[in-house]
Amino acid sequence: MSLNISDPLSLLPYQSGLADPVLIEAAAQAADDLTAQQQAYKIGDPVPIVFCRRVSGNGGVMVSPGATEARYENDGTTNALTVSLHLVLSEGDLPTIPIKDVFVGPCRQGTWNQNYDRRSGTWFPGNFVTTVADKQPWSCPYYCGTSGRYENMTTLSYVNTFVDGSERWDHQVHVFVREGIQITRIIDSTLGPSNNVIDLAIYLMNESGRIPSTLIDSTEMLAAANFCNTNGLLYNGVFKESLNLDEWLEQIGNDFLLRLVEIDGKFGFKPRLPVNVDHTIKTTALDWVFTFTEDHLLPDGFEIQYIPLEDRLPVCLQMMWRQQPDSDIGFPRTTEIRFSGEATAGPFEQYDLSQFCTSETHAVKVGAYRLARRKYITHTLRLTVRPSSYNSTLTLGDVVRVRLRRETATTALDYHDFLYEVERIEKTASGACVFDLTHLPIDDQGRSLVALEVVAATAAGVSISAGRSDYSCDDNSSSDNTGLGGAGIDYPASGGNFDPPGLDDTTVGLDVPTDDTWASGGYPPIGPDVSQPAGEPSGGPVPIGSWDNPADPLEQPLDESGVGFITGGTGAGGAPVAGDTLSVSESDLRCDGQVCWSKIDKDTGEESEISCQDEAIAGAYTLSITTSEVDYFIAAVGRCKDPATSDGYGAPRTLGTTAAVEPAEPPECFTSVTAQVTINRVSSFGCGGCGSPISPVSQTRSFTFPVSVYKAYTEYSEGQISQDCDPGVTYGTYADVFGVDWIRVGTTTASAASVTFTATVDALCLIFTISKTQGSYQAGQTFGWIVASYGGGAVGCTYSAVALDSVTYNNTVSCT
Amino acid sequence: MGRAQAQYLRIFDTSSTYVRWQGYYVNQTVTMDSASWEYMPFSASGIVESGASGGKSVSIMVPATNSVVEAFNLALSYGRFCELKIYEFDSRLDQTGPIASQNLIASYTAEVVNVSGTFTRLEIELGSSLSPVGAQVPPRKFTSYLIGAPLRI
Repeated sequence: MSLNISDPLSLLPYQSGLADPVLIEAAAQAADDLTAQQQAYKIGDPVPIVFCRRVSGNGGVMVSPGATEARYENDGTTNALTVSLHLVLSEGDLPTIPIKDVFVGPCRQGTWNQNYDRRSGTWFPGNFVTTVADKQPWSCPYYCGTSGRYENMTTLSYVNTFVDGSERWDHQVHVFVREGIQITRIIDSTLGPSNNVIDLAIYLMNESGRIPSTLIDSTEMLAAANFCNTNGLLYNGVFKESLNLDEWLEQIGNDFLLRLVEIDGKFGFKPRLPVNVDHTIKTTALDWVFTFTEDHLLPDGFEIQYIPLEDRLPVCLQMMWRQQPDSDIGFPRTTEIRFSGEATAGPFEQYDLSQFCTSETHAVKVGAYRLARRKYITHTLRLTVRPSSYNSTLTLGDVVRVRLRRETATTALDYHDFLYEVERIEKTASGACVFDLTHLPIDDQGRSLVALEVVAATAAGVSISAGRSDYSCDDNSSSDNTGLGGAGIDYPASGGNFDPPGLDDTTVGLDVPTDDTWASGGYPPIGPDVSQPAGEPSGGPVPIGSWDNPADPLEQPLDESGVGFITGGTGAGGAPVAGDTLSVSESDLRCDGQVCWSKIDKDTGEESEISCQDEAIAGAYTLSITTSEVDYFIAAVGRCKDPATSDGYGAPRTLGTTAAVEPAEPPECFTSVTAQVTINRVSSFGCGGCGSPISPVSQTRSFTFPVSVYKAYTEYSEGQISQDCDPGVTYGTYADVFGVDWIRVGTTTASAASVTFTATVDALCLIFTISKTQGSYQAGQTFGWIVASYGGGAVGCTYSAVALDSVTYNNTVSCT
Repeated sequence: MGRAQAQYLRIFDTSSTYVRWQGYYVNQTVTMDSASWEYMPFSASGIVESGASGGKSVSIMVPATNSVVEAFNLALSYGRFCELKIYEFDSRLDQTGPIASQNLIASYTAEVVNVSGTFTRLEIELGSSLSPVGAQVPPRKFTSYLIGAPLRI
């Protein structure tokens, strides 16, 4: 949501940094107490960013890191207390710090280790303090930390022992960092520490993830970085307070004589002062980009706002900065800036640059800039002009001339003729352009008065003594450049003896919706379905979010024609047939609700309801089709539950309409089956004697239907045929054959239980018991049969008795 | 001079340009900068360039046709860029297509950061996510994963 409010010209001095910001009369931010109690980081605190680079004896920052773990242990005899602290110094990887630059309170003491991306020190956190007789017990914290993963952080471990009764055991630890976080410097494209505020701004823009790199104006940024570097406006500080990035960018620009600009949508900084090509402040005559005259002005296009009195009164600026000795603890200083003879007794205005400014020159030039603007700038303008080529050529910070003829009397001809800086540009939809301009005062040589004052302002250059005379508490040498140790712990996945929480312990990952195309997974709020763009997301940019919310019950498909969600029709093209059971899945209704079935006469279109089902059964709403629905279309209409309606159901939604119901037809069954017949017992017997056994054979027989159909047995119990043939082989009587029925071709059919096979009976043919009316047989299913085949000859003469024990279908046959 | 303004809108990313629209030459596809620009009636609000915090956005009103909805939905989803250019020219010279002497009077490139409107029209907000609310720095915070249960003094 955006709110549009009027933007009166009177606000311009404040928006542009011309007027003084709300003053905060407070101690310098760099004035930390050295012997304060050691601080601990809390969950949710920002991870500090130490950003500095000490160059030519200037720069660096004193950091007072918070602790995350501690160990307290005393000697059982002397009661000496050993304190171990684990500290987080900064985000990122910092170069190794020399031993001379680490302090406990004001003293160089202790044993130290430094690591990146791992835990420093090998000691285990905890309170192991015991009470020693005749000694004052130590009062140390009990919750000493559980350790963590410390990813992408520079960590420190500090261990020191304090004698019994020492009051220094909980003093704050301080570290003088000469080279801060490593970034790629914009000026030399080199990875390393930086003291250029533009590098910090770009780092924060990128890390915040709020501004695509495409929208960072690298050209303007490079020019601004060179301006800072050339004029000694350097950043040496620790960034630890949570601030809004947009606000910080705007504020920090003022303290580096920069202006945050957004040109054609790209962010950048431009110097607030005219500069030469070598990035020094220009103190020669100014050139202007464009001259506005009456020809450009639209009616009522001139508005002037004078700087109010309170912003023009002489003041004395107290610029606070930080003196940073090379071998001692830095301290904040003030430098008072005033025009000679003015505001000698005040009023005073404080500007605290001590958090990042270690150069008196920097502080003086910023102070001079502010003071000179108060002194010389008298007004601002708002010009409304017609559009022209200058619409696209003028940008923020450009110098323009406004020369307007002014007639107050017939004999009084005057000109409003000044130089201005472009502070704000509004290009309206109507075409008119509104320029907010800030007066740019110049001298008789056309030089910027403000620039002249800034260049002329030089620091006193006097280093004040730190005021410390006793260094006896130092255990480590102030000239010891030995780097801190590297002892530390790489946790195994389990954490080892420590107990750092793992990623799975502290993170809940939600599955990324995979069904993220509108075509199948959801619907756009308005407009068409959008297909997944070619090549995306695989191989292309991953969408920031889903294209739309995933499918939900409230989203209704537009296409409700055709069969829709109705299934179960077995006729041609899914048409229902009498005897079918139609169904609509509960998931297709997408809500708890009701499905009503109706039939529509295919000739007259008359519709009548068949039934309604208020609850899905086994996940579906079903309808059994009978012959009374033949030649009717079947429609399913769903309604979600809606307590707001009288019947408890909401608006109907057609789930589908089938083709006309077809009458049931006799099922088409197989017309032939090819079976592998394995003959198990073969013998011939004739009138008066037995023939010779025939070797078992396997034959393939094809049976064409209709055949003599009788009865199926899925369990075959082979019986024995009792005949006096085939010595050594005992045949039972057919009466003994269990579960087999017989068909006698041509005449009668006997039942299995009563039939006794005799040679006088007519030839038995294949007994084939596939039912044509019921059952379902699968290929490979085995059935048992007994077959006697007639071998020929007269009754009572030679027969061939064949017993086979299996038939294996090679066809899939199904009859209903 | 018969002053006229033509607005051109392009949606693109680092590798592709997805649409090119112009809102002046009705029902025409015109050629400019060696590219074709289809007609789509839209209007842009004023462009404000300022160093002041906030207020750095441009609004575009577009009809909610299917193609427009699709284009801006995808632009919003993928963080694509939108470039708005406004040209001024003398309408007496030629009305059939962009003329060589037209002046670029405004240009603005930003992300599509918000879309709102009705069934018939959409308001597209161009800007950056660098809003006055949110976007806090330093960006990282101490978490349980990073420091576990920390020391409590």
